[in-house]
Formats: sequence, structure tokens, C-alpha cells
Amino acid sequence: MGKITHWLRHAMENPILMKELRSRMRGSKAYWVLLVYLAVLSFALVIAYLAWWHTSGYSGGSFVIGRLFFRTLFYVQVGLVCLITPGLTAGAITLEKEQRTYDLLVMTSMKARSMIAGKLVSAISFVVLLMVSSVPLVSVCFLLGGVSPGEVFFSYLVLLLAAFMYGSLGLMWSSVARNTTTATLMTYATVIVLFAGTLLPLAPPTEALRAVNPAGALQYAMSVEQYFTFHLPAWIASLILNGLAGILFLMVSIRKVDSYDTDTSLGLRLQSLLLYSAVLFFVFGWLFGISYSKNELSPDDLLMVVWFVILSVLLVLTPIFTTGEPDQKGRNALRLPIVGGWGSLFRARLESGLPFMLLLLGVSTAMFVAGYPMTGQGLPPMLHLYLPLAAILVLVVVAAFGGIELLLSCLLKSRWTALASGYLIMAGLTLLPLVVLPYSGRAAEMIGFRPQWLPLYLSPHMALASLFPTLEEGFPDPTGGEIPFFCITTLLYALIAALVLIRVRGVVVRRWEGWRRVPRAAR
Amino acid sequence: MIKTKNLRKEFGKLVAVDNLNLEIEAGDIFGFIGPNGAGKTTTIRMLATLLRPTAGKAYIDGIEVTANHRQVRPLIGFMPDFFGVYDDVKVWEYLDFFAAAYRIPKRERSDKIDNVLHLTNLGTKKDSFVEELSRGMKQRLCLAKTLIHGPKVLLLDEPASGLDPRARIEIKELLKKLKSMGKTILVSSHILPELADFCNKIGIIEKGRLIVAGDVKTILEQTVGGRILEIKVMDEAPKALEILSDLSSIKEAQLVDGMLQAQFSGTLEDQCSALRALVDADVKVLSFSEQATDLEDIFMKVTKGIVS
Repeated sequence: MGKITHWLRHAMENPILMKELRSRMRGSKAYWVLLVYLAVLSFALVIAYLAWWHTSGYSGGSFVIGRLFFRTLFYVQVGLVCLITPGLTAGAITLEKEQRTYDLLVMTSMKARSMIAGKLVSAISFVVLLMVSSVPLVSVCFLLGGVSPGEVFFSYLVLLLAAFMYGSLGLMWSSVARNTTTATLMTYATVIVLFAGTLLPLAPPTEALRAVNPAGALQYAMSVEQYFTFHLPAWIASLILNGLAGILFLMVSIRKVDSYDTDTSLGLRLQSLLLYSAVLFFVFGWLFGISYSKNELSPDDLLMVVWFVILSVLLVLTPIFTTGEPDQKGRNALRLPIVGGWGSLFRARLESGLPFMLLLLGVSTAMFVAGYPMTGQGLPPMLHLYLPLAAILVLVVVAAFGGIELLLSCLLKSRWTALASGYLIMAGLTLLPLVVLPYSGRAAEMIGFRPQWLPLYLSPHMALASLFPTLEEGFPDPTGGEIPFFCITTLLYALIAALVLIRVRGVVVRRWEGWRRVPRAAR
Repeated sequence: MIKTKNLRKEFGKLVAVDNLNLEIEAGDIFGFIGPNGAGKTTTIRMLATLLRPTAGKAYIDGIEVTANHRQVRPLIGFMPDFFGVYDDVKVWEYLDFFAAAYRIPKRERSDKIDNVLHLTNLGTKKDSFVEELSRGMKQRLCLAKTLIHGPKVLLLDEPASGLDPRARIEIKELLKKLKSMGKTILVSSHILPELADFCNKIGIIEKGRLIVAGDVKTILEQTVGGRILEIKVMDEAPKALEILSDLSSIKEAQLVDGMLQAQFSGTLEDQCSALRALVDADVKVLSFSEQATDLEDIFMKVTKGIVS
């Protein structure tokens, strides 16, 4: 108890928190925000009441309107919290830079994590104030009935979690971007992608995973799904995934705020690994659940879907982990981006990006294989062939795109340019060949042994899709000139990976030679 | 107290600071002079742990800066060339915020705030909002913030830039006070008269390279080649030139606009001897004085007018 009190006192003495709270509540701005917040909620209630009046009149009892009011209030609040919180944090660091107080702050004895914590807690505190101000409106629902106090309490918790996640997201962009405009734009773009991506039907078809979205959490939070053999309510998935993502965003902010603090690398990589494993646990767990408990997915389809997920997720992540600014002192490791990078695997160095991606591939494979004994299933007969071939395909594809990103990072000055160019090249190579599919109408035939549309060989997804039919039908006789689709794609990407990594080595060695010309004493 | 060893900073292909070697003793006021873009701010920011050097080492109070930035930061008081203040807080709140950020215990903060406000002559503005202060006052407030944690070393980047003459003089007086308090100060400027009054050592940087550094008198002798004597005579200038040229303390003498200018490197006794020699030779001396050589002369002599 004493420790908690001491920690709380220490937290309340955070100078950033105190200053932000003082500044935020000074003047009329805070009261105007409060007024607008309550006005929007009241307006939404009036609209809900009128809609109910016109559609059902007084039928159904007061608890119907109580429930309607409750849902309206919290759905609108979710929207407002997801809009307001990132707005409060998106300028938190960039404004310090713009008003030239950033250097003065960094020079103090305050650690980067105290600064970030102060900024986040002050923003969340204001959101909590807004939420508390809505309590009188929510109490109307109790008067009308149909809502339990537990439900209301839980809904406020969902709002708090959303404030944490989206607030952390704003802080991350604020510490990464150079000015407030860019930070705000990037924050809201990411909020829209995350919010819409987890809400729309294109999101995981499981109700439980839709609870990752705060609006989904209000509706599906209590629905229970089976993950491997665990039966978990959706709010746990929401809490774990949103919580881990929020912490990851904060760790990125901390790393960016004080460039001298290199000790955050280990935590950042571990947190990324943890979040990745958590996502895989819920996705794979759910897939295994519907496959073996509900029989909604055949074991063969499970195999293909899982590797599609692994390939897609790793492709999306590869540019993030394999771009950066090459460190002159990491020259030796960069010479061998895969072999040499293992030494700095948890130090967030550029040369360790590829090994980290391979580690993620290893984790994915391990979790996938562990899924069978976890659900009490025997290994499928084709697994011993499918698994190594699929893993090798994914490995060479990741190595090729990772190598391209490394090369771009070495050649281009800006990480953002390398990142954008990398994604464009990736989209071009993997997605463009697929444009032919809607017009052919015979996709299944095209993923056989010989695609008629040659660029399809570049599509790793198609190669993966062709793997299972090829294994089922048996390998053709290589002397007959028949080479399976996925073998060509694997070899193609292996060749790209080798060429690109050799080029990376060349660029880095050239740079290293230039660096060597600097007198030893000057290094 | 401050030492750099082959300190280097590159921004892409641009070398902003090129193998800088600097040594500043405790209690020194070191004037860091150079044209705009010479590398002064980059050097100060590397010393202040705000920029990582590309190569080389920097030490503050014997502690290596890059590897031990946490230990070094409390030792430094840094005032950037362009700085901001939080406008929506009061003067005491602003200082209290930085005092808390430097982990000064709450019970000690009030006294420290009063002390720095007194030192910077802002005592009457304690409860004013920062936005109500003039630019000169804001500059002094920033200096008060810089002093709040009692740093041993002050890194002041163009502390008087953009100020009116009165505010400039106030800042200068303040720096003299700090000098008397035994602080080690590195102050940069491209306006030389600003530094001339109170710096005991200077360093001139151009295009990232330290051209000359040391105490002002030594540098004067090294660069200008000694002092200049200005002598005005009635009508025997050629004769006076001949007499002066024969003296060992005079390196060179010439007639410039009717005035004799002699490069002199001797003692006060030698100056008296020179005057006596002229008088003894019946040269009618109207005036005899030593030309004031200042930092501007040194600066013009050693720099080439190029920036990086």
C-alpha cells in the first residue's frame, strides 16, 4: 500500500502532467470543448428519442428507450473519444518542437518515459473529465431501465481503453513527425484505418475479434469464442491487443523523444514480438477453433489460410523493420545482413531487421505447429511436405523484400522515402500480377503447374495457393520439363534476395571504404 | 572543464564541425566566435547532448558526453539561440516546472526560484504571465531557467541576439555576475563587441574548423603581430620613420594618411624610449598613443569570409 501511495505521489509530481493540466484548464478552451461534447451527446439523445417516437411510439416499455439511449450515448462517445484523444496528443511533442521548448525539455533530468507518460496522462485525464461530465445523461438510462450498472461501468472502461490506445497512437506520430500538421494528418489517417478496418465486415469475421474496435467492444465484448482450447470473452482479446498496441506506440514515442536513449531497443523489439504473438494467438486460435470444434474449415483449408495469413502479415511488417538509417558503425554487420544481424537482433539496428523478420517467421511456424497438439489433433499427413516448402517460400520472399528495403535505406536519404518506395515495389510485384484474375474467370486453372499469365509467377500468394494442389497431385517428373509453379516463384525470389543482398553489401562496403578514408583519430 | 577531442559532425556530405579540439578551464569565459553557419551552434548542441557527434569525443567536467549523457545534463545549463517559453504559464510556474524537471525537491524550489529571479532582475515579474514579458525579459527568464539547477557549465548560444541595446547591456552585466560566481561559460556570438568585454579566452571557428583558440592577449600577439603605435608629428615624418625603424621594439613603421603607424612588440618602458628617441632628435611630436586592437581585428585577420 505504501509503495502504491509513493508511486502515485511520484506520478502526480510529474512536471509535464502538472503543467499540462494547469495549462489545459486555464482559459475558456476546455469549457468550450466540454460544452460541445455535452451538446453533441444531448443532440444525439434527442435524435434517438425522435426516431424511437416515430418508429415505435410508446410500445415496448420504458426499458426499450432506456437501452436505446444507453447505446446511442456510448456509440457517440466512442466516436468522440476516438476523435478527441488523438487530437489532444498529436501535437504533444511537435508543438514543443515548434515553440522551441523541446531542447530545453530534453536537457532536463526528466527521462523520455516521464515526458511521454505526462503527456498521455494529461490527455487521458481530460477525456476522463469529458466522460464524467456525461454521467448525468447516462443516469437517464437508469431512470428508464434496461441497463445494468455493470454494463455502464464496463462501457466506460471500453472508452478508457480507446482513449489510451488512440492517445498513444497520436503521441507516436507526434514524436515521429516533424510538424503538428503532418502528425495530425498521419494520426487521423491511422485512426480511420484502424477504426474502419476493425469495424467493417472485411475485418476478421469473428465477432469476438471485432471487439478490438471500441464500437465493436460495446456490442460484442461479452461474446465468447474458442481460441485453440481456451474459451475467452472478446473483451479479453480487446484488452490484450489494444493494450499491447498502445504500449508499443508509447515505446516508439519514448525512443523517438530522446535519441540518446538507446536502451529502449530491447523493449521495443520484445514488445513487437509480444504483440505479433498475441495477434497470431487470437487469429490462429480462432482458425483452429472453427476448424476442429465447429468443422467450419477443413484441415487442408486451415493449412492454406494460416500460411496466407503468415505471408500477408510478414509482408506488411517487412518494410517497417528493414528500413532505417544505416549506422556507419554497423558496417560490418550490414555486410552480411542476415548472418551478421543476429548479433544485434534486439538492438533495433538496421542490419538486424531481416533476422528479426525471420524470427517472426519462426514464431509463426512454431505457433502453427503447436496448434495441433493444443487442440488435441494429430498432424495432418501432408504437413511434413507442406510446412518446409511453405516456410521456404515465405522466407525467400521476406528476404527478397527485406533486402530491397535495406538497399533502398542505404541508397536513399530518408527512411520514409525508402518505406514508401518499398511498399510500392512490393505492391507492384505481388498484387499487380493478380489483376488478371477477375478477367480470366479460371483462377483455379491458372494456379496449376503453368500459369498462362507469366507475371503470376511473381505472386507469392498464388504460389502458396498452388502448393497444396501440387502436393496432392504429386510432383511431376522433373526430367519431363515440368517444374511446379511454387518452385519457380521460390527460385525467383531466392534469386532476387541473393542479388539484392549482394548489392547491399556492395553499397555498404563502398560507404565503409569512404569512411575509412577519414583519419582514424577523427572517427 | 570542457574538452573536445577531434569532434566531428557531418550532415550528409556537409562537414559542419571538422575535428574540433578545444580545452576550456574551470572559471573561464570562452567566447566562441564565427560567422553564421561556421559550426558554433552544432558544436554547442553536441556538448549539450542534443546532437550525437559523427566522430570524436567531448568531455564536460571529465565525463564523456555521448556515453554518459544522463550524468552530464545536470552539469550543463543550456540556452539555445532560438528558444521558446510556455506563454500560458506564470513566471514562477515556468521556473517551478523546470526546477521539478531537474528533480529539485519541492521544499527547495521556492528559494531557488527567488534567487534566480533576483539574479536576473525579474523579481517583480514573479506572478506575471510569461506572454506579458518583453523580449529582453524573456531572454533573462530563459537564463534564469538555465541557472535554476545550479549548473557548473553554461552553454550560451547567441544569448543577446535580437535584443535592443539596453537589453544587450543587461545580459552582458548578468554574464559578468555569473563570471564572478565562478561559472565556466562557453558563449557564442558573431557580434564581437558583445564578447570583448568579459571573455578571457576566445576561439574562432570558420567552416567547421577552429582557426585559433586561447587567451585574448596571446592571440592578439599571434595574429596581429603585436600592438600598433600611432604617432602624429609636425613636419619631420621621414626623419621620425627613420628613427623608429632603428628601434628594436619596432618591427615596421609606415606613414598612413599623415599618421605614423609602428608595429610595436615591447614593454611600456620601450614605448617611453621610443618617444624619448623622437624628442631627443628634435622631432615635434603632436600625439603618441597605442591603437586599440580588438576582437574584430583578430577576426578579420584570421577568417577568410567563407562559411560552410
